Amino acid sequence: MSAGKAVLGLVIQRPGYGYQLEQRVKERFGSAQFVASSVYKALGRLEKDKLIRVVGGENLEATGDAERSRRIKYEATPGGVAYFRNWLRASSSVPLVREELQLRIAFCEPQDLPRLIEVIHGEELVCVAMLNEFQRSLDDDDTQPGAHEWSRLMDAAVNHAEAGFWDARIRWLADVRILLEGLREEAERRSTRSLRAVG
Amino acid sequence: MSEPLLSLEAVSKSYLRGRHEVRVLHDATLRLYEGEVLSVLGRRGAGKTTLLKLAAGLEAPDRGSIRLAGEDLTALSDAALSRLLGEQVGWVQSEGPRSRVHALDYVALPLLMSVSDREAYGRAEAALARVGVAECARQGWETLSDSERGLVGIAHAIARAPKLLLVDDVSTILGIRDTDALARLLRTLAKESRMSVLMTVSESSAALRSNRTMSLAGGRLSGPPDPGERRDGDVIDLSSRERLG
Repeated sequence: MSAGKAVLGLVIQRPGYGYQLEQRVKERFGSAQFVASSVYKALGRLEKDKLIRVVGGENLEATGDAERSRRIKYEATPGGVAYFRNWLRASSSVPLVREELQLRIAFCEPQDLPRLIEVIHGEELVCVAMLNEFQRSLDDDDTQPGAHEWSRLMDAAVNHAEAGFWDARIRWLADVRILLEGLREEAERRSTRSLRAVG
Repeated sequence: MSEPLLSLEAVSKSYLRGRHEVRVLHDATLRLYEGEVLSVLGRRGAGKTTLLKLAAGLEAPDRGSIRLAGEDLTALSDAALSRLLGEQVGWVQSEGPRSRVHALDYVALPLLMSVSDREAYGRAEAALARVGVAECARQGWETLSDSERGLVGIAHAIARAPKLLLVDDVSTILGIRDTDALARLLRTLAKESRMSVLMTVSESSAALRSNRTMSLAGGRLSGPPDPGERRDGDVIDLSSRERLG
């Protein structure tokens, strides 16, 4: 997922200050884990490419790029809207799977199991916490007045994608942990039997 | 924070399947407060229904304590437990009635033992209207759509105005629209009636309108056991992942 597309889509939906857009990116696309600086960089790029423009805020020429982007208000240009619509209708690219934990699992040895199980359960807890954060951001949605039925359903579709991401992640981590816990128990049973045989 | 309506403290539960011991819960802690919707996410066979049975006192834990409305469920007599469940707990299941009945009869059924027929049917009609399917009252269960069955199931469970609603994975066959509508309804019911909802789900999309979600897998119940609180072991600091590794 690109921060630029996420930000442009949100500006088209509703103009806003940079700091508001950063918050909205976090609420809507939490699983992408965009950091604030990537949102402000994206705003700078979109402005330079004339896909969005400044419509308010303070005169902040002397400040840094990120601080300026944070404190000024943006709206989409007609060119930005057209660009986004074209992108929306284009074919999706297949995301790459890059996962450090997969490498750790691939190369782990039996003696690494206790630590790896702990690491994986830690990741599970982080994912469940992220899911809870996402739920909390939806609580605020409910308070927005005049939510249109169409927008509500499109939001539901997007929210299901976000939930699906955490589902898949939590499920995979739990499956691997259960597998490794089973292997650890087997190893412990074997070791107990060997000790008995020796004794 | 007030006392939880339902609490499971350090609960363990396992059972034998053939020669194998299946660990459903290991040292699990969960607290549910008034007006709160808590979802437990887990795949089929993870022990979600067993968790609900434990919460309703229908199964006893191997270890740990379970309290509902201030009562220790493991210490109650069968009669006292039945009375408590009858008064305080509603259960929504994906399976409906086994015999062919109208939706209205199904919803009125649990009320008929305690109040007059007239009152039971009056409350059943109100419950169906409350969940938005008043027009299904005279329809047979077998003619209802999946989403209508889910809603009639909720009406059946809330007709007695329980304090605790247990919902067992009812969204599995619903699409995005119906799942969202059902989740919003449960949240609204909890908010308006101060009813607490413990809901099991196979997919977290069904839990998006909950106040909190925990995950159940391999006997471990993971996630915040209290609203806004985390246990010592619940590592949230993302930077700690590198340290763990």
